[in-house]
Amino acid sequence: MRSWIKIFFVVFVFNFFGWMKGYAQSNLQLIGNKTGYASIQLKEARQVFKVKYSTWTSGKPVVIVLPSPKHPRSEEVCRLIYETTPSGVQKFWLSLVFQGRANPPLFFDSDEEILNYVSKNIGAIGIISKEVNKIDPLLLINLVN
Amino acid sequence: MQFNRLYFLIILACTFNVVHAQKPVTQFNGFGHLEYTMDYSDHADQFFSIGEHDFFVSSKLNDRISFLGEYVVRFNGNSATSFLPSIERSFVKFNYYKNHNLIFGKVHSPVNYWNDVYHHGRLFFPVIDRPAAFSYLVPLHTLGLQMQGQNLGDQNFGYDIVVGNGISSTDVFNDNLDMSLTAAFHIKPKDGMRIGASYYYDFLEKNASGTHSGHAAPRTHYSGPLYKGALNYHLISFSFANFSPKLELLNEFTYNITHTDTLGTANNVANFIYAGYRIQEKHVPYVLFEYLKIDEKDLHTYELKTKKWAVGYKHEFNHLINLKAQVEYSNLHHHDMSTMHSDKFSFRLQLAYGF
Repeated sequence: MRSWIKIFFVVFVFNFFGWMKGYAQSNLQLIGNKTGYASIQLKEARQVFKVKYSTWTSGKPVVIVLPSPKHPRSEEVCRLIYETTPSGVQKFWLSLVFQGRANPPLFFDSDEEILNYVSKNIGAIGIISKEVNKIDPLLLINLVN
Repeated sequence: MQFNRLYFLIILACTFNVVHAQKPVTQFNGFGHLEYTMDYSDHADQFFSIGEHDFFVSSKLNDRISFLGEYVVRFNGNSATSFLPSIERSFVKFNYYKNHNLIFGKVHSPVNYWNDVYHHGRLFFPVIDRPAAFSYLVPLHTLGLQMQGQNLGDQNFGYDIVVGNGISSTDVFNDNLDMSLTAAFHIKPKDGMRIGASYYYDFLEKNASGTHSGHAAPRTHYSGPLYKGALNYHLISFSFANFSPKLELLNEFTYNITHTDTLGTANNVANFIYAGYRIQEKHVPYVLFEYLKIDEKDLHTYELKTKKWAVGYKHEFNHLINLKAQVEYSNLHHHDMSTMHSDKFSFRLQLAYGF
């Protein structure tokens, strides 16, 4: 019985540090245009990107901006936010839009395009690499665990 | 004449500005499927078939208003070209407050999970066919006004209230004052899980089946005289869906009550259950069982009892194309069985795609 507890403990610790490592090493940052968020929990961010809300507290509609499958960090974003593959994210959105329960998101091939769209459209929220420089500080949303 | 020309130019300029300022975002999609079937009942046959082909449009007209249309072309032996088009959905949605919407148009009656989530998109079906209740009991569409709320609170509560043209009506006409009523709610306690229930009511003055029923109109299992009197139609549905990364479960329960002055109350029941297990994202072996029983006192659908067992396998090449293989046994009982096969074994393949 005790050996089972040890195995469970080792597996738990291994996975826990694995999860923490995955998050801590994330090289991504959230950007949004007048979303009302200066910082956001990862759990809450996931809900936003999964269309929990139609509008922000300001009343402006939520516009989701995502990396297309051609984007070099597509896999990383999909794993962090949707906890699935880029194909899984495409499937999720195709199904949701087909139901008529959400407007389709916008997909862009590069961080520059995502940043450009978000900076010009109130209510837009996206996720880009931390390597991108010269971001308007007002657009940055601190992602916390 | 000068005034008219000036007036026209002003309207044109205003229209251009409005259209330019709104920048509508429009998305077009197509869905379709092809099938191969080998049947054995009293004799064997095999054939290929071309399935429904679905053209889908969604457009964001402004910050608050969007449009959705779904247009299907399907085989119909009575057509000169063997195919007929139909408008399956066409509605305008107004997001008036947070997650609350007002919808006007033709919608999928939100009575259960399947009709709300899949309908014509075979790409999304977990199995090859819709549940049998869709062919006999479920009112597939409603044309009217819908109040919709979704993702409310911690449990992601959602509601749908619909008032519209009922089972006997067409897409352009209803010959009485009676409207159908749908009241549905659901919760989504976690990702991939949805639990819901609904109630649908309609009064059929002459027991006719129009374009919204999606059922009973052909009544292929019944060849006797049709009842033409008044009928009350109640439908209660309960859905449980859990599509987690590994395990997939779906149960659709349907309880239908029809009441006539001639034979009184008939109680009809149907249940569909599906279970699948996803392996390495692309492979989903599955089983399904369904049962449907129409009461002998029913004068809308008419007496029937059917069961189906199936095992199958779905291979998802990617999110745009999948192949399903299904072996099934179905059984149908009805007192008017002269033209029907009561037991049938089938092997079916379905290639479903979207783009």
